[in-house]
Amino acid sequence: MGAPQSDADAADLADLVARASRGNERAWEDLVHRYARRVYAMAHAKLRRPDLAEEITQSVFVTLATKLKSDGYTELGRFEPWLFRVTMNRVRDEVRRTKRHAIPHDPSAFGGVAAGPAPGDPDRWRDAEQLRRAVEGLSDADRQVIDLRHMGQLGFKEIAALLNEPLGTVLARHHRALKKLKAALTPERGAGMNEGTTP
Amino acid sequence: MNRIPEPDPEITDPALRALGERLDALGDAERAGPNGLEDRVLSAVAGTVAPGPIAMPTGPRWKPVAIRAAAGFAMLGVVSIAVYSVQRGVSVSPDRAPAVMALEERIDGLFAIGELDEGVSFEDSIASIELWADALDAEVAGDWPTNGYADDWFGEGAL
Repeated sequence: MGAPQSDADAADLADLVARASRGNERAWEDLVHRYARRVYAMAHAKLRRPDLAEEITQSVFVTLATKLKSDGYTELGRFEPWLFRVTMNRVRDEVRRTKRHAIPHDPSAFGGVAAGPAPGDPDRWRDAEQLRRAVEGLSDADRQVIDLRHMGQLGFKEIAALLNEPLGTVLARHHRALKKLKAALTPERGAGMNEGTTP
Repeated sequence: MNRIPEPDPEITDPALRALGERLDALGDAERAGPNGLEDRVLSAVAGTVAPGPIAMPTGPRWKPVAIRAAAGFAMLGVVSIAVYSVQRGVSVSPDRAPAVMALEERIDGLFAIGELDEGVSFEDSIASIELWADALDAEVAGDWPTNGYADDWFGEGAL
């Protein structure tokens, strides 16, 4: 694991956002390369639909561009929490819309295709699928922290800022979520291995 | 660009640390995502990022339309009245001008009497002016067409 985000990183990010708000194309390329896949991962982990995940990613960046262009973004210094809050809201809206329109989809139809180890490595692929299912079994609050942390790669301070929670609360929630995952995976791993050996 | 956030200082259990690393690996796989994602995102935002004013509506559009429509109706009404008046030949009687002049003279006379205070009562003078005004009114009324012209304008279907 690497070092926490330094002041230099924060200053660099503030400068990047400021240049992007002035329409600097290079700054936009940097922003998109820095964040697009993290936004995508957040959306895809929840929706399991590559097309929707990409649509949401584009939508989030268009929103960002509009905000920066119109000076609507005023939370300098809290860029990452702001960006991922927008992402979470879009994902939540999409989940509601999908439920409302009752679009049936089989999560396993997407798992391991657009993300995860290649099917050519069945053990790793199975491990990834088990982990995904265990994460899906978490409560919304626990899953939020797991997704922000491991899909969005946010630091705990950024997660605390995003969720408006004390840092200690976020750390405790993450710890609790890992323990739940461990408990959920232990019997499943055993069952999975049995399944793998049963013809 | 992938970055590795700081570790959770609360986690000392090796099993939980290993689980966290598995989740990080799953995240790496999710972030691998589709090829060319960044290019498509940049294309999507290009129209907004481009320098120059954004042609975005800034508020409801009905107000200017309503104001313009009202102004248009008002102008149409004025022009219509003017055209209608010309076509109907509405005019002031030639006799009306001397009547008006006489009324003006009466009013001037009233003020002159008031200034001189020659004993003429104010009520009498007012009654006299009212008489002249009635006579003038009757003359003007006689100039209006008698075929329901006013009803055409204020009745149904006028607007």
